[in-house]
Amino acid sequence: MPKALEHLIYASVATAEFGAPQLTELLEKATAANELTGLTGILLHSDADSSFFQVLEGEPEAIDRLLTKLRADKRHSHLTIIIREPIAERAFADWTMGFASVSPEKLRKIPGLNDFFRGGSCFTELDSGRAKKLLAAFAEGRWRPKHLGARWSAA
Amino acid sequence: MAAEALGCKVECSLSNESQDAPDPDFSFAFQPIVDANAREVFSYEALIRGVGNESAPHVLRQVPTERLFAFDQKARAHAINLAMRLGISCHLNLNFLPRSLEASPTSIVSSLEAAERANLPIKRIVIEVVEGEIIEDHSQFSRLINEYRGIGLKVAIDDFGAGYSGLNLLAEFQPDQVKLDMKLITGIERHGPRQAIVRAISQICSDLGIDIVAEGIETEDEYAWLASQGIRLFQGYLFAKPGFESFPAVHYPRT
Ligand SMILES: Cc1cc2nc3c(=O)[nH]c(=O)nc-3n(C[C@H](O)[C@H](O)[C@H](O)COP(=O)(O)O)c2cc1C
Repeated sequence: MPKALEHLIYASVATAEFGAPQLTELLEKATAANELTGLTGILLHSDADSSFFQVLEGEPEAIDRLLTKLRADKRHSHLTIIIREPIAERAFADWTMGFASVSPEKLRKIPGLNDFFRGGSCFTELDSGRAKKLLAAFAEGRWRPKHLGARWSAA
Repeated sequence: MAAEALGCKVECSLSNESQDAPDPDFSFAFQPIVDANAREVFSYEALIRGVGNESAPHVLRQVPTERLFAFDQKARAHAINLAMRLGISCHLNLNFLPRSLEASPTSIVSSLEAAERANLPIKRIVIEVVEGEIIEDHSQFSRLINEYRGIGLKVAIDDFGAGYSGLNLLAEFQPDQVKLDMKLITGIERHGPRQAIVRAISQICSDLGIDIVAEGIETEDEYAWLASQGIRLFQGYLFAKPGFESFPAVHYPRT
């Protein structure tokens, strides 16, 4: 019996401006840490409204430990868990933490995402799994600060 | 097909040691759930029938109450075998009698075992549960089901929108599919309140990564309205009636 796998999908709002340097630092640390904890997933960031959307996959204990840190991390707020449930297989097995800045053109350049961000408009490929469907929903403008109850103002 | 029914009878008299009245003979019809955009069959729902294509109630009426759950399990195993013989290459939607998940935890396991024996991958099985079934204890239901989702089993809430619990349920448990109740679908193109409800459900489902299946769709106008809201999975006479012991041809509307 393989170890139990879960995914956790959340959205949050960046508290400070997240430019390339901040993102690079975050991702370097995150990928290194995830390599050790066996977590995989993808992080989306939307410049337009400074929001994050992350899919984390791994063993429940590893997810719990990171979640505690994420909740304490002052770089974002309004962390809202959208889905947490068991999964049979990872959707992002090859990515210790993929990253995409959300604009449809950039998304389409990411290998493995092309298949469901097709033809100019994002569409949800049926049966592509919940993680990808939710990524598509975020890319289409759902789960943004205004949905999370954040009063967001352009910095 | 009489041989089929017989084969099954032998099997069940072996596995159920004492049994006063024999179970009725039964078979299955299959109705496609189609992806109207891709113009392909996404799944077949297995619907129990008599060996002469009699209705489900006709068959179930003949089963003694105390045998119902055992019969239900046996029937699902048969549905899996029949679907495999018909060469199923998409999903298979299987029904569970109301209360069977609660009353007999083996009901899922037995179907998973049947799938394994028949070489049907678990991730192609969608179990359909009616929303009324889960009204009492959402979190218990969620725990039970999540055990099997870890091995790829998919879950659909049937008759969604028919009862009171639907939206509440989604707070505890997020299925892979919801099947919109036929009462919501009928004549939707000219019924404002139904449109408002379906729009809201549709929004919720896209926020939670849940597929919507519009069931009982009979007219092009219903189809056109639902398709305009981004719904792409359909089941109903407009596309295909259930095929007795067969996968029927699908009619795709234009547009
Ligand atoms: C949006 C966002 C996503 C993050 N993703 C991860 C991640 O995938 N893995 C990780 O280890 N840390 C991630 N972090 C950082 C953690 O919140 C935390 O800072 C990090 O685990 C370091 O904690 P430690 O040094 O106390 O171990 C993320 C932070 C933010 C703001």
